[in-house]
Amino acid sequence: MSETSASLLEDLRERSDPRSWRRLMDVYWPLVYGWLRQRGLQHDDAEDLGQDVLHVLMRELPRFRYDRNRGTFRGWLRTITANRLRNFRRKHRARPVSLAETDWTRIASDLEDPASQLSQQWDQEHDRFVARRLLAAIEGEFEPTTWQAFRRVAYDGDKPAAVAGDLGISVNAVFIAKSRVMRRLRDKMRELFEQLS
Amino acid sequence: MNRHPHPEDLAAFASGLMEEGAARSIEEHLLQCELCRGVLEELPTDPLTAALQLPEADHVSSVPTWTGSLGDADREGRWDQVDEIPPALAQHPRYRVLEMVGRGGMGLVFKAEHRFLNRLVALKVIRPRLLANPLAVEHFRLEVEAAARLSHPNIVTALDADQADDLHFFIMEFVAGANLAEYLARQGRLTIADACDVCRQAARGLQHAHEMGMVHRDIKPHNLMRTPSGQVKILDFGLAHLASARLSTGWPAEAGVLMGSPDYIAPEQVKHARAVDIRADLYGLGCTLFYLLAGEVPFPGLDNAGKVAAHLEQAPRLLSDVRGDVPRELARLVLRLMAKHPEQRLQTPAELVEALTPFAPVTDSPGTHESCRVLMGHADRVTSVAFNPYGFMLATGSHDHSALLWDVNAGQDIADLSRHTGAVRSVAFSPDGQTLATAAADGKVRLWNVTRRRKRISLRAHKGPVRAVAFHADGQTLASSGDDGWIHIWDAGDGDLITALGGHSERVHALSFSRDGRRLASASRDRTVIIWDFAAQRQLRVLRGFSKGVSAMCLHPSGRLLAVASGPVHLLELDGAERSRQLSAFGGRVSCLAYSPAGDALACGSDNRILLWRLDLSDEPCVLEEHHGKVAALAFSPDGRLLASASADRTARVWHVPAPPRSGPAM
Repeated sequence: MSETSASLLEDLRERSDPRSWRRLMDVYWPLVYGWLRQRGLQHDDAEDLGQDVLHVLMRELPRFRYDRNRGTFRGWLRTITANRLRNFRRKHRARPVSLAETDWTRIASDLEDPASQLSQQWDQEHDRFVARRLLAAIEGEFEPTTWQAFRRVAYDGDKPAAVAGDLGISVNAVFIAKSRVMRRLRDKMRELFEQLS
Repeated sequence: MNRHPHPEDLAAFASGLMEEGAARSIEEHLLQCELCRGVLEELPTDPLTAALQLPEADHVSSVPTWTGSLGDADREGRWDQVDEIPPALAQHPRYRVLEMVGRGGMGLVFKAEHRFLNRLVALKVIRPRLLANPLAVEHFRLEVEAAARLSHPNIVTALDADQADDLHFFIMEFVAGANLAEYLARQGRLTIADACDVCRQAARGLQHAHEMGMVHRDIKPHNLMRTPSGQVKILDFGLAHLASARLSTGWPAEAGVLMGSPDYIAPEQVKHARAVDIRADLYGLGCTLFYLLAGEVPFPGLDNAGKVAAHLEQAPRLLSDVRGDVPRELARLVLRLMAKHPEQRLQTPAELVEALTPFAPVTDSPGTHESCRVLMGHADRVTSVAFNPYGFMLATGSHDHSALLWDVNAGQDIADLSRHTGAVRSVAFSPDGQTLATAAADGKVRLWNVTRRRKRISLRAHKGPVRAVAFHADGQTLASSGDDGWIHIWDAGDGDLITALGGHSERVHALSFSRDGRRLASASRDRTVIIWDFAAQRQLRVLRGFSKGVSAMCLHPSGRLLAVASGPVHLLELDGAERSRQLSAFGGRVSCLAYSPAGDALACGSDNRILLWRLDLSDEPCVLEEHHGKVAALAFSPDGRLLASASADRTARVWHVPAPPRSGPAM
């Protein structure tokens, strides 16, 4: 099942048209804002810095070549965030920011190191966030039972046998439900970022 | 039985990494193979599934939000108590919601700003019970889509329909001002000319809608906005189906719910709400005109059912009996608009525009051009003007030492950037719209964060006043020039001076880049214009011989054509054959020149007038005459449809660029 719509990155590279922005913003604004809030930034600072990150993201996207050499999209976003974080801290050195209590240089350099714990956490959070968004969009394509089975196994980590028992279906049907939804999810993710897997 | 799949294939199957065909054969195999089901059960969780299982992190917003459920508030009759921004809106990815600006039967209205386009919008959150089922939501979206195709100065532009959690909202251009009902409540009934002008403007908007095949269905004073400059705009096109009034029991039993408003509803709309045409809007506009002139609705003092019955059966009072100074012709016109049968009314809004003309002075006869916005806010001469790259925002600089940011649609200033200690001479937006550069007589260039309205960097740019500032297409590089005769090139990111271009011996008062950024043109009081190869930072050409001096200059977007004002305006070809063309400025002194982004039009400030040439069509300019002082600067919007002018009369104005005539070169 392939859809004709061009991928988000393709769209944006062509010309930043508002519809692509919109898809980008809708997925990435809550992610970036939420991440910053969790690191302890106040609402206003998270809004400022988050907006800053997304501006750079949009400006640089046309130049971003999505290939293995440049790394993944989420890794690139991580690097942008690290840069903007440094810049933001420098600009606001004079005024007390909510970030002052946190070791921001450390956070920025951790973000740039793909092997750091913070980066791995970022990557996972990114995947969870994007995947959940996309899943919400494809839920309607599946039978309710299929969806229930998938949800319980994938989101809640329940045992397939227990899920099968509760839903009155075979264990096999649970495996198949999980496999089919996951495959569709990966389709959607690919659609979003060309080769992201 | 097939061979057992490899465990790695089973893992790929479980995590959705397997092709559809291969996955199908594994599905078949699993049906018969308990062994493989066992393997599958024992597989470790794949990374994507593991990510899915992470707990949803929550962050608490620190902005005040309405913590209850809007749906509950609506159902339980507590709608009026909602006084904060709903959380789903406060967290909206694209809009920064600023404040609640209104509430009505249909919903709550918030002023908001698009985070990335810096555009002011109004968000109307629709009451949950009005969109309680998917069909209603679908209908709402279709109506908004249709309304978004309308584009007219007398209609509030619908931009989008959107959803945040279970809230549906409608996004439209933000219009400052009050609706006519509020207006009357404050100031009492209108003068005859004023009331007729309001209805004439509304009729113009309706005519546009009529031509686009749309009917409003709820024309009333509450749905006519009036901006501070007197422009009337029709609100809520496409939303009439959401505005319904419940009739008191008993009459008419089968109607139950009415689409429209009892005070302004056309008789035929009571019976067949959806089947009505534009003449129902003319009826509503007739009732509105009655209200504006009389200060009261046509059938006052009745309950909803009584009002509806009156629209169906009762003849309205003659306006000239209610208010003595209303001419009988006008009173008869209102009666005609309020005729019970549509075929007895005027048939189109265009007829009404004409019919109202005797009662209101005509301000816009065809052939002359009115500015669509007058921006008043500066305390001294306005020297400079620039559109942001999205065309929603204007920046102006003034002798009053300040720069102001304006919302073009609202015609309202939205930020005051005043840190300079001298007249601001030039303003420029970066190509991404996030930075505004202001250049001033205090020798400084300041870079502002447009979104945050904060100063970012201050550059000690020149000895003596800075005259011009321009962004390079790369968004990173900025050029400035000053009375010291130098052109300085800056890194706009950190404010470092990259290089200085020398060649002029006196004040450099104009700078202009080609669209691709390869060429820069500079004009100086030394009576020369220099064309620079920007990348190589060397002079390509020096144009001399302007014995009358160079009062204004603009490089064509292509970089191959130059407009220079030296007495008249000269258009010079820079490459190949040195042909030139001359345009007369009618004896005025040309102070500024601007090419349209497409390069097909040239605007010129000549004393108090603006001359606008369609270069491909004619040497005859269209003349825009409204400023009371010299025009100091001009800028086209990125789409070329608007022209902004800055003047010594302390105003900036925004003009619709007249469309080129469809046939023939006559202008």
